[in-house]
Amino acid sequence: MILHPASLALLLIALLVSAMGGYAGYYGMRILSRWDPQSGSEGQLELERRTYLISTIMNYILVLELMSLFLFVYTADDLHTLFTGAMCAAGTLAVNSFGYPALLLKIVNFLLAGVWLIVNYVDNRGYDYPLIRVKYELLNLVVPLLILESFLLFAYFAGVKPDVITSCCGSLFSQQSGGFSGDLASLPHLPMQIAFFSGMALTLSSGLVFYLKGRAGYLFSLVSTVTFLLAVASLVSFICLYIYELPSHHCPFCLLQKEYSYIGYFLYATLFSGAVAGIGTGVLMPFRDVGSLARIIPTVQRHLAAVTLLCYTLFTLITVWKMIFSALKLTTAF
Amino acid sequence: MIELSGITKSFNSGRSNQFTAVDNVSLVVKQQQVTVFKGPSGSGKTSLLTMIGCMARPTSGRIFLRGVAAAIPFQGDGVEAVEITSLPERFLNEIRRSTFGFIFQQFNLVKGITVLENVMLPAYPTGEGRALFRARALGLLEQFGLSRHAAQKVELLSGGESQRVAIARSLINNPSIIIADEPTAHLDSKLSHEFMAIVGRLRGEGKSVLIASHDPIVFDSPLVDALVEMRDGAVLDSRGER
Repeated sequence: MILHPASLALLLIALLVSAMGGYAGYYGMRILSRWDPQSGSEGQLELERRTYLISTIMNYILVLELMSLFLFVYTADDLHTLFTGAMCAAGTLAVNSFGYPALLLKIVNFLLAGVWLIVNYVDNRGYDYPLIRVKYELLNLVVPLLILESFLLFAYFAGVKPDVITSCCGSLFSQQSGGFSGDLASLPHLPMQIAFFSGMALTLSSGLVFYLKGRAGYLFSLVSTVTFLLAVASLVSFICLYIYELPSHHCPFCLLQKEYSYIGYFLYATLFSGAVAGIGTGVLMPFRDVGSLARIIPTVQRHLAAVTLLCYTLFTLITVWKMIFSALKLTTAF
Repeated sequence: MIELSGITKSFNSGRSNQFTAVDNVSLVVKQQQVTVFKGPSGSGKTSLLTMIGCMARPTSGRIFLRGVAAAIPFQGDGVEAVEITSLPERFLNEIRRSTFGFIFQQFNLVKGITVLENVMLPAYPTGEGRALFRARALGLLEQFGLSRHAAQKVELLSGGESQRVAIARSLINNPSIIIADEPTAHLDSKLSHEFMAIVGRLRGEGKSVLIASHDPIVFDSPLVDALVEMRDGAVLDSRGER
């Protein structure tokens, strides 16, 4: 167990999120089973007050969850000096078998928590709790994952031993390493560049259509989600090569270091924020005609689309800037 | 109209000292009328009015505002009836500000500031331009014969003047419903009659006035359209269109 201030903070956040999530999930199930807006019974009125309290608490808790993703990768990066062989967060996460599952789950929970916050924001603007069932069904999906994430975090930090010899990112994200990280690193550059820029172009064009005319919301959401996955793969496949100016260094974590001006935080923040806003736009689509939300949702969706457009544009501009001005030129495309 | 359906208000629910202030009250209060809630102290009049005025929530039951002319944010959506007991606090704020005007038993004027500022206070959170509501406040002070006191601190006013300031303040956001809780409790007979004359004027302007009182000058007044008698939290009798 490592008693590092950041790891303790992360464990504390995980404990808080799990405890509050469990409490909210319990009331979520009560609300789902007993909610009856036509009734003026004491139980119904108590649930109405309780849901407002729960959603307010979960609002703050899930914002903590969003921020904890960045704290987690920062901590992993900061701890790499303790392990023989580790050069960045990639090595720190590989010191035991819980590191990468914890990171992957944190990413999934980041997206789900972001979507929940969007749904909650919209629901709180309707006067008749229009999305209450959707909100709590989604919460009941998120809560077990939050608890599992806490378990993985505890298992990871408890299993961290300073004398462990771990792998460096160069071997984890090399074309010869095999496994998922090796597969990402092996993706051919030119097809990935075509796929990445096509995805961005499609997202931006469908996003503009949606922003200006309110049409093709589902398409925009789907394309932005696929582009998010493409962008993550592209980061490992070719974008990081231009940033490191090394033809064989595919690590997605070294980007977070001072030597690269912490550019990774900006890249990941824009990418993840854009993805959450894009997915959120699609999640809200079925409720555009719900009475009390008919005026609210289109406005919120336009704002979300604008966030995705802005974030993805920034991500693309940084990528293009690095590709043009990098000392590295990838001439062998495949 | 205001429709109350099975309204109960309990304090300390589920504990040994549970107290039920309002017990299963169902009632319809018509618009543009003067409705008086009559009953002894502790009969539940004030509790009922605070729930109608969105200042407290019932333990059970529903309150509907049907066709009430007010700047309710979602009324433009074709919503005819608004059920206020389930509304989140954000919406209640808006309804409280725009739909209801309150006259309290102790007047609750803010000491240390002027009469004009007291009248203007409820308009600040609405976002309306200050010059607009200042002009309206001056108009109300003139209407109630208080113009010369506009720049005066409220603690220097007499009881009758304080009450007229409280009435002016309740009207600053042009509400459609005025709620007055024991408004004549601290007034002599002459001032109480003056108060009822003002109530008559408000009714003439199309406002609904709800008064909780056990003062005969109020509930025996010919201006009263409906009388609701309460005791021990329950409605004993309800008479309308007198």
